[in-house]
Amino acid sequence: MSGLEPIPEALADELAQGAIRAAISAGARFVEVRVVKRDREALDFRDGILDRRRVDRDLGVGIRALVGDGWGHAGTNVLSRDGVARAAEGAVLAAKATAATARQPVVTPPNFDITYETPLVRDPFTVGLDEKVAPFAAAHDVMMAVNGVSGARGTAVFLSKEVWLFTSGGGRGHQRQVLSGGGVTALAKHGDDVQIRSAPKGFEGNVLQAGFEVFDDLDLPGEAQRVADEAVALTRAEPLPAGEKTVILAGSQLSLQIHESVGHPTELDRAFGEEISLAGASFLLPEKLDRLQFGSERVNLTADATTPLGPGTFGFDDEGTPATVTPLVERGRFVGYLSGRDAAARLGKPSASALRAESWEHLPIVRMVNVNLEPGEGSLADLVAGVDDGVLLDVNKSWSIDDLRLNFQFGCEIAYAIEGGRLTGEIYKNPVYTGVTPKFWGGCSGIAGPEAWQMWGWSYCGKGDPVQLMFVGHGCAPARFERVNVRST
Amino acid sequence: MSAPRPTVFDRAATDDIIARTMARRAASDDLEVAFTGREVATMRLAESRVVQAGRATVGRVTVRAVRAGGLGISTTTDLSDDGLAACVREAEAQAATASPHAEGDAASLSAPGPSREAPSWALDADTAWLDGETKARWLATALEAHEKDGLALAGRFHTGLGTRAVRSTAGVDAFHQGSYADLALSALERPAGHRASAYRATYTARVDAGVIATMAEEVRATCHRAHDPRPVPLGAWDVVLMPAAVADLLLWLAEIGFGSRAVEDGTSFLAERFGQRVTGERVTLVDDGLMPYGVGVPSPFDAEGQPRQRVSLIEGGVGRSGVHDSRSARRAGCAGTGHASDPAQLAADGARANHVHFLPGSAGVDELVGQLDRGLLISRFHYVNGMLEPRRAVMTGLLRDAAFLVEGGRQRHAVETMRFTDSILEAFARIPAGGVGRDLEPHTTFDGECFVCPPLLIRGLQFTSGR
Repeated sequence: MSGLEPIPEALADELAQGAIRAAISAGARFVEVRVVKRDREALDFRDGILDRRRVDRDLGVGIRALVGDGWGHAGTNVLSRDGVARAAEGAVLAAKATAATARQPVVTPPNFDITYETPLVRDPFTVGLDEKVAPFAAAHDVMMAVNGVSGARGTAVFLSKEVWLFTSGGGRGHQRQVLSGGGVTALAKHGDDVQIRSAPKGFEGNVLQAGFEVFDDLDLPGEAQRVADEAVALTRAEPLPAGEKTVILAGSQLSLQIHESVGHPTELDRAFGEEISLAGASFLLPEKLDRLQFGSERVNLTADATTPLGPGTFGFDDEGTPATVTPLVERGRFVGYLSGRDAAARLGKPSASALRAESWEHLPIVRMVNVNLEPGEGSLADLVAGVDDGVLLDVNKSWSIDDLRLNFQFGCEIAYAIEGGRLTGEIYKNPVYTGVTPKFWGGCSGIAGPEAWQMWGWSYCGKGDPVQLMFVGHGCAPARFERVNVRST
Repeated sequence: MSAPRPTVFDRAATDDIIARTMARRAASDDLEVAFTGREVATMRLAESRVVQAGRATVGRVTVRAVRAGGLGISTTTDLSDDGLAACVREAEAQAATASPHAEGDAASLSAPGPSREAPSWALDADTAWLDGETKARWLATALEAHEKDGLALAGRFHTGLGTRAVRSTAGVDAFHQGSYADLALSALERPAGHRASAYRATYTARVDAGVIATMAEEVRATCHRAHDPRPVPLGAWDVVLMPAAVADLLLWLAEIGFGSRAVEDGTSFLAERFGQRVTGERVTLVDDGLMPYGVGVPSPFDAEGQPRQRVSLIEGGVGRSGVHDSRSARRAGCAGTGHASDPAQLAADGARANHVHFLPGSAGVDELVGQLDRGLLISRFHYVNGMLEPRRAVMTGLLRDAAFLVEGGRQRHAVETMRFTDSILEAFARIPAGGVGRDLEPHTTFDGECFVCPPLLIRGLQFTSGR
């Protein structure tokens, strides 16, 4: 595959100006136009061969129009002059529908002129297929050679998202984000039991904002032997005895814990009750801001749209707010929200630059950027040394959390037993742990240091109604939590 | 049915897009062009306001090219001549690259299977083109009534027209247009989500003001009855699940059990168990995209243009069949069933059962509740996940919106949320005689799938944690 052609600036400008004229003419007082092009390549591997390759190009225009204090949105990929004008008029009609019941004033934003591009060592869209296949073929060869392994799977994803953003006030932005990553999974069967182990994490693997060079760090062939051995061992492992234990979450599982129990409840639209129709609300009501003790004093969490490698890093969000850094939890206290401009204004705060849309057809909504757990000190071994009776849990297998983001239950691929400050070598299958968010984070007794801190990417975060998928990042180092309920299914 | 109205993606426009794509064929033995169009009007409610409204016109072309047994797949929304040409070029280049590796799994395009026509009610023009002004008018009384009662009304009211067309050099030539309304209403005490609430939803080809009024009144009344929810002990509870709760479970059974990839990988609860009892005898599940009970949103053919066949998944508790696309059928040595998923969905992975029906029994909801000495009436679940132990279909999830304690067959009071964790196959085996309800409801998911479910009575569902 050759490199990707950018959207011609003249075309983007022509489409945007046509949309702005049509929307203003139809009654809008302010208009934002996004011209978006996404290119994706997805590779699925099965037992050492490339099983399926899909290439997807997505090009269209999204228009957000403001009438009174109501926003309306329309997206179209019918890019004729008439097609774009019709969409602009549709956005105005939609805005009139929301304006009729709007209660909060909307202030139009200042101008901006921002460009951003993911720093790449190797643009994945210039890398040949053979080179993309090679690490998976090598990893699968290792896995399939292990007695008891019944299958090897792998996925790779490469994504480029280019956005031109124009506003009727003269704002202008252009950015291109590139994501690359993947992972491998070994399946093992023994009797009626089927177990899996994945590296570096399950589902899509680890997808980061970077070029093909991420595969050097992923080292999938190097991880293959361990993954395969553990998958086989799990088929003969015992379930985890139920009880209250000290738990250490390895990085990839901790990243999902952050995602579900920190990222989503700190979304300000949820706190305002505007996400009820799908995902629910949040226990972090506005009156708890700056008051609630969310976690122990070791816990510092930050929404950071500038973190290197983070899928939630960009130059500007989808309403033109420059990327910012917003503390969410400081020394355990709840101090901030993920927000866009309008929601933040209701609290008298600046936007957290977190209004994002999956693509041109979607309305921008409050989404996570990179929500990171700041590092503590020491190593994973130091955390283990502080555990009398516990488990180290690695790689997510299932996830569920209530509509206020309080009661959660996560399943992991494996639990490693810890006794007397050391890993015993014993493992348990089908482990799950359950908790209630503030109590769980309140039990955080240690976070490993910067050397153990890394970025984890999740590219299938669903939110909104109609649902949108978004790529987000969570940087963290392994962390230890006291008095956690664990068991196996 | 109302008179047809103008659409961006009518038959002529669709034919033109497919013909322009086909014309670019240059280096393939066979080529398939699939077009999907969506012309939709979305509306979202919260705090008794219209908080989001939008429109989308989305046309997407997917090309599958076959060359010497190699398969290439490419998708685009760039409908210009250059964009369509690039899409074909990409698919053909992939097919050529894949060809040397195709031994033992050579791709081919299938000839059309036996046709199944969509029912005439699949397209209701009034629903397809329902505008925001009309929606707002239909909702006005409900919004006012909820505000008057101090309740917040929330929900979604999405409507639109879906177009799907598939043509191939193997002889497939399929076209379908259908309307849909994806409607959900929640009534909530404030602060919304923190106190009592009630929920109703439907996914249907036709909607009118009466549907809105009925649903709105039902959630308003139920929310009042759900005032002041109280905790109840964890453990095993006999439960009556309303259809929305059953749909959450069926969605996950489809995800982990009925799809071709799960069966091939051996992770499905049906793998190596076809012909064996996998759950209770009162459970019969079929997948049928023609929506034989006259509810839901029909889909007569799949992403390959193959007619969706009626597939018996579980019959009287015995595992019968999974679903197949052409490729999984070739691997399994059987006929395809018309369940190819859309390759444009990045997470798509093999054939999927998208229209699962739990075949109804004869009991009304009141009769099911009347069988509870001490139990729970559950309106729906929240955040069900079925990945815990797929071979046993172990799932977890939480109560959401108006669950009631029932004693002596009578509803007493609302209960606070708590989490269940249980094998759903084993739970379904605890459906007693007379435990399958009569009245079916259609519910949808993120991807426009449609699950048709009755209410169920289940003995001893395990609740494992609370707040």
